[in-house]
Amino acid sequence: MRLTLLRKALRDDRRAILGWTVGVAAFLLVYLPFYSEFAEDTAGAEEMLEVIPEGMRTAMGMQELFTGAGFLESMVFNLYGPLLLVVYAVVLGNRAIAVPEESGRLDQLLALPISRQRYVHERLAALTIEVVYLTAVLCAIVLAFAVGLDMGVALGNIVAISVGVGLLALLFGTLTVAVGGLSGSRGLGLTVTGAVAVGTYLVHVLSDAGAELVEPLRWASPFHYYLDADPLRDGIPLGSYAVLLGVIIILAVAATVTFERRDIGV
Amino acid sequence: MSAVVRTSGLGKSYGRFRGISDVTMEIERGEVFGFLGPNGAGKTTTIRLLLDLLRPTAGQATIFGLDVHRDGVAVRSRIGYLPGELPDVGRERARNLLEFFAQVHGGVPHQRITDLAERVGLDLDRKVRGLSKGNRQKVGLVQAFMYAPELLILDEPTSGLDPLVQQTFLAMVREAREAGQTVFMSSHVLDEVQQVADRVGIIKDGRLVTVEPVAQLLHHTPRRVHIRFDGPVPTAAFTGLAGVRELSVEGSVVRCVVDGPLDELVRTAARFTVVDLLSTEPDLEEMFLRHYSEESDHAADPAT
Repeated sequence: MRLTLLRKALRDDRRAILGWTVGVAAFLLVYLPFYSEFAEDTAGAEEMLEVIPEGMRTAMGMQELFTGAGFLESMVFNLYGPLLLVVYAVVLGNRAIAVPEESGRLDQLLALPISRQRYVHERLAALTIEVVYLTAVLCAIVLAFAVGLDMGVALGNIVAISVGVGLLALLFGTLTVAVGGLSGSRGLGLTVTGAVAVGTYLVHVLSDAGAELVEPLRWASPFHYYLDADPLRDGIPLGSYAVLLGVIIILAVAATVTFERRDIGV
Repeated sequence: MSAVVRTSGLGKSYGRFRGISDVTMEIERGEVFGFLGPNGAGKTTTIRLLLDLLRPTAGQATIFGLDVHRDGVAVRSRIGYLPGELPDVGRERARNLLEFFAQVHGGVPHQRITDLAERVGLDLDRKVRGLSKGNRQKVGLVQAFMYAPELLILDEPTSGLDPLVQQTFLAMVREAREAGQTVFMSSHVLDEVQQVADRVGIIKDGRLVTVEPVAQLLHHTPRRVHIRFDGPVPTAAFTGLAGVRELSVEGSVVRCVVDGPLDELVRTAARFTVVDLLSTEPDLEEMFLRHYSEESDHAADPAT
């Protein structure tokens, strides 16, 4: 298989990928150096945190700032890292079907000797590569700081939690592709994925905060499978990550099946 | 002769006013088939059904004897398609975009792309996004022709092209036919179809109104006749002749429109001294307008 479409997608997304690389790198390069200050002034770091109300602290994923693991979770892995990567994956996921369909470009592509199934699969493969790439960038920069600032976190565990961020981003990106495959509407793609991402994140933090109403829904939030097993301290949680991967595969199949059956550009 | 494109009872209903119904036609190998109709008549819908972009709600379509859905990839690998409007195709240079299309089609000799581009006057180094509509159309044309496909499906091929390039395009269509390729082209510009098509299908409000050889269509199309005599002629001599309408006799000049053969008019005119006779080429445009205006007249005035 020549993967012509996959290569074309990567070529077309080049600028966006570069922009996001710069953005993620800039975020990390600005915030990660603060660790040395917190580590030196443990009391100050705790004082700073106490100023923030506990509910808000939980919602923002802030924990202790003076240990390496706590600092990385607070700054990168609880909220901002997943947020950046999920938005990136959703934006690129929308470019697989919905964006070209609304511009009419999809007509030209599908008039070529390409099956719908092949089209979706190559676009999903491109999305996967793009997510893996930015996750690797994030992981590499965090690893560099963890070593440089002597954070005392097992490097393997940083890789483990990064894999989780990547899976989470890929899940929401694939959801966007699936909504595009079903509807062909870029607006719907963003709305549905945005609502699901924010909703499931809220379920996660609210049940963390002890809200009994949402606690039974905890299992339905992807964030549960990403964070609750504590990969930064305990390494890759195979079971939880398998759930995320399973959902990604189900969404990919849904995207393929729905896209195969419908009219294009109506 | 075997049919390259065959539709039977093909229908697609969607929206309230769009769609086609009961389109049945056969396009033979090596012919140029003109698909005429005003905007919104269902030309593009028909083409998109043939390309499996839409799924029919009735009937079926085969190309090369293969089902356009089940064997879609095999069918489309033998088709060159020019969309009605080449969409925003990104930042790439025309050359790179064409090479991408070529790769998906399993490769096209480099020289072929260059030759075609030169022929239509396309600068391959320019970025597609910045191109004018006419220049984008050239990218689309090069793309459709470069595969040397067995079947060309061209949706409004000349829209946006300047007259010189239009002539080049028509020459390319003729060459394609000579090379044994089949051409299915939609248009609402009758002149171009008249120049190259062997047969014409006219679609209106989603229904195929007629399919005829161009020659036959021309045969029963009206022609405008202008005769000048060496002196005044009596109006009475020309009234009531078969097929003559819109008659006006002013002194030595007779003007009228004739449907069908000119025979009776010419015989009558020969009784006087004819100085000059001008019969304007029968024209699909006129034929076409009548086809539609008659219908709309009926609609507007139930008394007729």
